[in-house]
Amino acid sequence: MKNAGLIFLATFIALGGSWCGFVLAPQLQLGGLKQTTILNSSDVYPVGRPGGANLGLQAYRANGCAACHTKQVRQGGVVCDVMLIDAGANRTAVQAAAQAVNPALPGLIGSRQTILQRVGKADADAAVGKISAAGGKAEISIIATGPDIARGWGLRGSVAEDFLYDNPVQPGGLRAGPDLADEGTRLPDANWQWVHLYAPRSLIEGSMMPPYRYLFEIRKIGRKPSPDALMLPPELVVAGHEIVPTPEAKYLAAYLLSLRVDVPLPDAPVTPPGGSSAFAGGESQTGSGDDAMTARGRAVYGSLCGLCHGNDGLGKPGQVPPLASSEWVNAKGVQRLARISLAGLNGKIQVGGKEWNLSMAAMGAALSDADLAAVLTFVRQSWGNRSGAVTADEVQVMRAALGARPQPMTGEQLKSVPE
Amino acid sequence: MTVNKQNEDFGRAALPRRQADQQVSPTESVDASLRVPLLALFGGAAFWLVAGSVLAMIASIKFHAPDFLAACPWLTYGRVQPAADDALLYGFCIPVGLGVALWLFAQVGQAPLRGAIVPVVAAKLWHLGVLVGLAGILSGNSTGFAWLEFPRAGSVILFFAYLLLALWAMMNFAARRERALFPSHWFLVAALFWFPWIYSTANLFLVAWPVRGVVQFAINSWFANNLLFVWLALVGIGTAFYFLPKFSGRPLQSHYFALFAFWTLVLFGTWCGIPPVAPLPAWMPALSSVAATLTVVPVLAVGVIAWQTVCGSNHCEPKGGPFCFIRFGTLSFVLASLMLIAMACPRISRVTEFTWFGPAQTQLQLYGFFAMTMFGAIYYLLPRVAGFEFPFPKLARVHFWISLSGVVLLVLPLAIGGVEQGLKLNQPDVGFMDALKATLPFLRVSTIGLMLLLFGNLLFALNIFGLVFIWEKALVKKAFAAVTAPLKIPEVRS
Repeated sequence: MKNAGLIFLATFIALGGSWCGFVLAPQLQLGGLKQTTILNSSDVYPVGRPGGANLGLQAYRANGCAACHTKQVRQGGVVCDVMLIDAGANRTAVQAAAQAVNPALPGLIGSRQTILQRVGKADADAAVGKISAAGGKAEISIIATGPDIARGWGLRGSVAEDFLYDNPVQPGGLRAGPDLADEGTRLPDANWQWVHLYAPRSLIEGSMMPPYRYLFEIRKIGRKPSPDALMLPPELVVAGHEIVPTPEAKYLAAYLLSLRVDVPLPDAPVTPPGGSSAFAGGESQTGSGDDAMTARGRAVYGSLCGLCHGNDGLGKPGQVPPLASSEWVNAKGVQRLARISLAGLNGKIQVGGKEWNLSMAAMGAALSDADLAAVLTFVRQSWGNRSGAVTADEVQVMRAALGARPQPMTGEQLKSVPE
Repeated sequence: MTVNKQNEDFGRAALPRRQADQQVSPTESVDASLRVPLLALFGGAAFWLVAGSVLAMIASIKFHAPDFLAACPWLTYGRVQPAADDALLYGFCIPVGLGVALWLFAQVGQAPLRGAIVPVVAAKLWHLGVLVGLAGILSGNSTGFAWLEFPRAGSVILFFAYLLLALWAMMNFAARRERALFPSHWFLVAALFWFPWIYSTANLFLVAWPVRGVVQFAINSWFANNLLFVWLALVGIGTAFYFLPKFSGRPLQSHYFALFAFWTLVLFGTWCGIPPVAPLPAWMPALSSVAATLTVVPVLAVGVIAWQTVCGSNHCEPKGGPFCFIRFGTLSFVLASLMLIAMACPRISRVTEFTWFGPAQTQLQLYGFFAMTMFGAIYYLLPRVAGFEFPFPKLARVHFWISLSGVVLLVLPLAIGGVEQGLKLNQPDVGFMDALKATLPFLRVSTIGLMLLLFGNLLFALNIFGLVFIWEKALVKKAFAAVTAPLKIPEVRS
């Protein structure tokens, strides 16, 4: 290289190349990205966030939440489950077809029975083909795989559409805290979020998150207590004072609650647990023999409870206790079970002979009485559980007894409640 | 140092020079012309280096005591951490790199810097921009983009300050009397062009008129890679390729191999940086992974060139001097780049992505490679330019050993802890908190590493500020002597 012109040329070629590749080309390919139609639905995704949540994105940026939290779910791949929906008129032929597909099936099969689990798309399609040839009706559920998804951080991997309305886009690069892409479905309770921001270690033992007390105001309780005041665990209560979130804290919580990765998209197909909507097969899923309440319970379970407690009700070892054959679920009455879902649960508790340290939000508080009754019934009658149904009236009475915005329960308190 | 020595260092035959009728030796006039701009650049940089270390310490302590300084929104982790990183990168690395480039052009080209007042003003402007930017981050006005957190006002000041400094460096380069070009020139000239391009692109498309959705992520990754990997490599390796032959008393091995390293570095290195798992079209991470694999070529080439240049030299230097800094810097470059390349490999990235392995790589790149190389260069050139010895030359050697231990204690535990964290995160039956708690012992050790770095940086700043103080004192003395000199009054005689 004899002169400076050549150096300039080298720089220009090299940097110009990558500029075209990683600045210009993505803009041409994705700059005009539009909303997509959700699979098997006429709704579009994403819709813009509500105003408060949009301001919350700016609070997220200003306080540097992305320094410790990612908002990207990584997906390994997908597997398929095949479920028999309707055995049709010729039950024996369908039975034979199903057993040809999966010889390990028991002799008698009924509706809504899973006949193949965790298989590739091609195998699943072949199985559906055989069943329909025999006159039955089967459906494929698509399940995303990968450690992030197994942790319950989202239903599928993050895709470009998820970030369409974010400005700035803050995907984060370090997980010194959990991924937040699906925070809105995992912990949809604003009070939980506030208490966690105010004193993280009161809810998560050993948390390294710094407390964000500057987002809250400690006030003397005046003649009229603030409707927004935090419901705190007893050790944090300051006598005669209330802790009120500042507007920034309210926006931040609204933003966190708006985060979700549970929508099936054409480029990221997935079947929500419970299968309330959007089956990849595109067929109606109202199965025979399922009454409306169980269907509703399954749908609510899939969109709320299933993400942590699992589609199989077995929970997650060490993190989330099982619901299947749990003594709390299968108690004579539902006083305790309903309290857990209406008020949340904090601290140590024995389930199935093991000790669990929990911080469950009041997941059921936002549900209608009928929906909560449906999902509790579903939980009490699935995965081998054979307990009595719950009615909406029972839920209504209990909700009234607990009052507005109750404190999270502890294991000890629950035991003092009659079953 | 004579001019002849200068040329020997590059292994080139002495070229005819035009310097016959000069009163002062050209080296002296070059040094004198650089004195004020370099003191302005390096003085401010030493301040930001210490400030960045203090911020990094605060951030690190928060992992052991989350309540530490938690009541103050200005010092919350999410603001202090990017502020610490940016203070190191924008406050120290870039101005120091520009200063060394100015010196190298003037020194090798034997052309005194003209209009030195402009780079002095530009240096002050640059440090003002860093002040504005850091205040912006700490007050919650960060842009939210990695390595581009400075709010608009700070970025604009930085951009124009850079343009002025680069323009003056290029004018000095064009006016060089020694026309021959050396490998260091290619690296440094390319770096001067590199920054304005990437910085303006990133600021225009992310901050001024933001593009939509994940395109922001693509541009941000492209920018961060081209600044942190390519720009730092160009300046740092350019500097090392000047000093390694000089200190070892052997020519660079070899000129053409260095040219090859330069071309491959700019051609492949610039395409790295898109993480293998990203919510982007698959062709981008794939392309980036391929480029990263090819980047092995220039990285190893730099390693081989440095090795062959240094080995076999019988030059012996007291331990801990500038030579040690630059050798350690070059070694760190090879290691940090290999870590970067490993992270671009999908198999490895599955474990290391989103873990402390990433920050470990960044710190090795910024501190182990770039800052250490620059310390060596400054310890060598600043006394010559200022015309005074450092006030505490022994502390410079202590600085080397402290920084070396600091880098090792910072990077090694973070890298190992990151792998541990990644392996645990990939097993869904290991609780998330358990995976996090596994990193705590490593974070503790890295805090000790940061403490050592802070101490080492204080020693560096002490020497720089001491030198500035001696220079100012001499100026005042000279001025005082000029003012108080007895006037010859001819009238008295009559």
